[in-house]
Amino acid sequence: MDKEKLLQLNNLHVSYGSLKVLHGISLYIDEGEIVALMGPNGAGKSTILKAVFGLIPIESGKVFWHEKEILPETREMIGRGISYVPQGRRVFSSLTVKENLEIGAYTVESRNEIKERIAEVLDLFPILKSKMKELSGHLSGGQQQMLAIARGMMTDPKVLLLDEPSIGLAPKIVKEVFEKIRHINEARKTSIVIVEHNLKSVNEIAHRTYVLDKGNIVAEGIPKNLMDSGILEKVFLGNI
Amino acid sequence: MKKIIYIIIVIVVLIGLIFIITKNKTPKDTSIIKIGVAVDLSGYAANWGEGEVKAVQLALDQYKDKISQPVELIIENTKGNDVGTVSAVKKLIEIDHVQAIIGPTWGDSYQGGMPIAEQKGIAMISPSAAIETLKNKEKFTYFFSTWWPQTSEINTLIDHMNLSDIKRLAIVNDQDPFDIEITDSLKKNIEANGKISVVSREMFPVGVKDFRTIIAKIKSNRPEAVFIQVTDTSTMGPFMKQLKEQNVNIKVYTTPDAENTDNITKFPNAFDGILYAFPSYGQDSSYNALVDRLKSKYGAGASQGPSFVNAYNAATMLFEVLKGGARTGTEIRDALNRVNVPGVGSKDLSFSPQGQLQDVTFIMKTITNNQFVEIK
Amino acid sequence: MDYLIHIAILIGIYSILALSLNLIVGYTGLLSITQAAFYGIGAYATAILLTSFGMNFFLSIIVGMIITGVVSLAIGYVLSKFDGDYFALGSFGFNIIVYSIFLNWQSLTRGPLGIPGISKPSLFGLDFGENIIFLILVIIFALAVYFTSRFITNSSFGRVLKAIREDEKAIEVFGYNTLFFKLTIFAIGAMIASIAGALFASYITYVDPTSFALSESIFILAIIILGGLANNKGVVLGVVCLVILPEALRFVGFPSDIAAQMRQVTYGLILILLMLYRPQGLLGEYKL
Repeated sequence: MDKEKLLQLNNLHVSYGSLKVLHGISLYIDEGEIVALMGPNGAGKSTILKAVFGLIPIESGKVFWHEKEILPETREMIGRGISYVPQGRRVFSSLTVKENLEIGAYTVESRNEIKERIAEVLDLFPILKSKMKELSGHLSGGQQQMLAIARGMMTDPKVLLLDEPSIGLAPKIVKEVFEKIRHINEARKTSIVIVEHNLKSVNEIAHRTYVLDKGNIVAEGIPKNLMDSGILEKVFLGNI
Repeated sequence: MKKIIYIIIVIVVLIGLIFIITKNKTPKDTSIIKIGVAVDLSGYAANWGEGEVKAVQLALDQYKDKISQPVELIIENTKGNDVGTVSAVKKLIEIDHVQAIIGPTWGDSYQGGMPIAEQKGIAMISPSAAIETLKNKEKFTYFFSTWWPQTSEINTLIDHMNLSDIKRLAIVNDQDPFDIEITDSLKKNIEANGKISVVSREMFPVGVKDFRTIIAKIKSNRPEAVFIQVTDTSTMGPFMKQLKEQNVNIKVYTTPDAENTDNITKFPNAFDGILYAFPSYGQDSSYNALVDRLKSKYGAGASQGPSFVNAYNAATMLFEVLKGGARTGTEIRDALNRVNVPGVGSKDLSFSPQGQLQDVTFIMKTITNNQFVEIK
Repeated sequence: MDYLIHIAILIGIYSILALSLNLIVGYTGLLSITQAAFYGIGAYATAILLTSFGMNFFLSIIVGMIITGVVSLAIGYVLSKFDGDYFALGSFGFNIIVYSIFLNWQSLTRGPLGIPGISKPSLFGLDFGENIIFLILVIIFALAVYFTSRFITNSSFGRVLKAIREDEKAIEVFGYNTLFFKLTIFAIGAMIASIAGALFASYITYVDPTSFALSESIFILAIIILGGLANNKGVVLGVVCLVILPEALRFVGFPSDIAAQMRQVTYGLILILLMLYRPQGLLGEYKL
């Protein structure tokens, strides 16, 4: 019997004004999976995350959660257990690390529960423990990325959408970030959809990869197989 | 730490400046009579206020040897707003211990100083406050004004309109309180007179310079004359010019502000034919003598401002009562209620029971070839 | 002494105004140039209710706050369609509209003639007519507003405001209805400004439209920029400086024929120097 798909997109079409960006995207993610979305600039990878999360409108297509159709609207998604970590970290630099985490706890009502969530998240990101009172603008790039992901984890999501978490980070820090992502997936069984350009790093942690080009999915499969097939090279060099 | 020290220093210097001065102020020096001059020197009415200061100083020049004690003028800027007026009046009364105040400029627009002066029993004579606009004036017995009473001016204008057989009049005015008051009075008196119809009334914000739409609207009502009343006299030039541009060839009536040499210079011949009522002081040699003294003291180019004569008369009346020995606030107020002294434009400057200058006569004048000419 | 009390009262009233605008501009990043309009609505509400209906001053404050709250929600909703500079321009336009209403709705406001004879407050036989007693009242209100502002800005609500200021799109990602937060703080700021208006009306005993023109909104904005955006203490410091400075300059002995102009120039120069050396304001968190 097929496993119930956790999150599924069916024939998604998205445009920015008159510019068509997604041409009928269909993909899914299972529980406990890390799924990567890869492709050159302008392929529509970030658009998929934003559309699913209700940040941009969908022209047509459906979104399913546990195989039931849902409305791709931000608060709906958060309520269902989907969290989004935007590109470029977007931590609030004039707020402290603690305040940033508290901001992330939108669905959490009681102060005690917020404290508990913070404690859980600090277990995942111990580096932030000593920085709780520091302004997040004073953190390094890597620490800010950790904070951004930690903030995304404050709602204890079932699915975490990560938009280019390695952008602007040194290779050593990228490695640390990806280790963290893998740890979150293994320790909390959180499904993760990750948009990335860093092929090597993401392929080390992803269970499955979708390859996009010009708003279409051109390949899907296990990362190693896709690397060996040469499809990634063709897509990134524009030879498709 | 450095930041906090820096801030503390700034605060201490500022507060200290004012606190030390007020705390250690010299005891009331009764050998000098202090007169406050609370005028607008930087706001919208600054050209009025500057003229008022000069006029008061010229009046003091005439009286300084006649008053038994030296008189010191303390000039404060009301800044053309209520808070500035209140601050200026409070400072003059509380810190400087003035015995009377000349001002404020546009006392009808900035009434905040009146209750303070009333409470402290200090007489205020405003050279530019239309008493007619002050609600509950009877509560302010210490407040006087030497601005021209409007009834004489309005009646002179209406008489001329009747003589000229004007039957249809348009009225345009800006939204200054005084301007609304005078045009409301004009309209009321015209309607009571019964011979002239007001066919159009247009109001606009102070300072408007584009009158084309307004002119088009009044033109459509076919008036035989238009009366214009504005606070910003520099806008009259554009009005006159735009009237001619739109071929509106009707009589134009206005206020004594028409006698403005700046306007004539900027808009030569645009004002020819304009008609206005003017206080008869223009025929008075005392006015010419005053203007000569103004030029002698402040230079040939010294400007008067619209309330120059009014301020001179206010100061004259005040110094006259000081000459008579009035010193306390109540004495000065009571003496002002009785004073009768020759001034500019009047042989008998005196106040009505409402504190308004009375018995001012007006004549009709016009501008011909850029000259101000009486209509005989 | 009365003169010092007068200055202290002005500091109190402007502190309330500045703290109200700081919530909107400093903490939320909404560049609003319309606070004088709300100040004016509060002032006129008190003036009309006291002079025409004999209402108690304190009750008039509540009525004024309600009217201002409703108006601010309506205008805030319209302005919420704009971002950044366009928001500022829109708020600028609103100030002009409200000023025009004060000027032209003569049957209600007496237009440019203004409303004189506004009485001082009284409550249960306690008369606030004496300036020193009125000062105590102003201080009470100012402290209440200060601590209310502090409570708001230190709360989770305040946290969201600061996040909106910094990056509104990012905070929306967490599910926050930023429109709700912006409207709420805009209304709170407006209602606090109306309290300042009521106090102003009762203190000066006369209101007219000129006290609530665009220049007043710009002055209040200048106070919070000078004092320091998003810092309540800084804002009060800014009020102290900008109220005391022109008064202190009255005592500087410039020659009388140029004194007024020199004081204006000196005032402007000091502001420029302060902005040059402390662009974030005396105690500010950030620059505009």
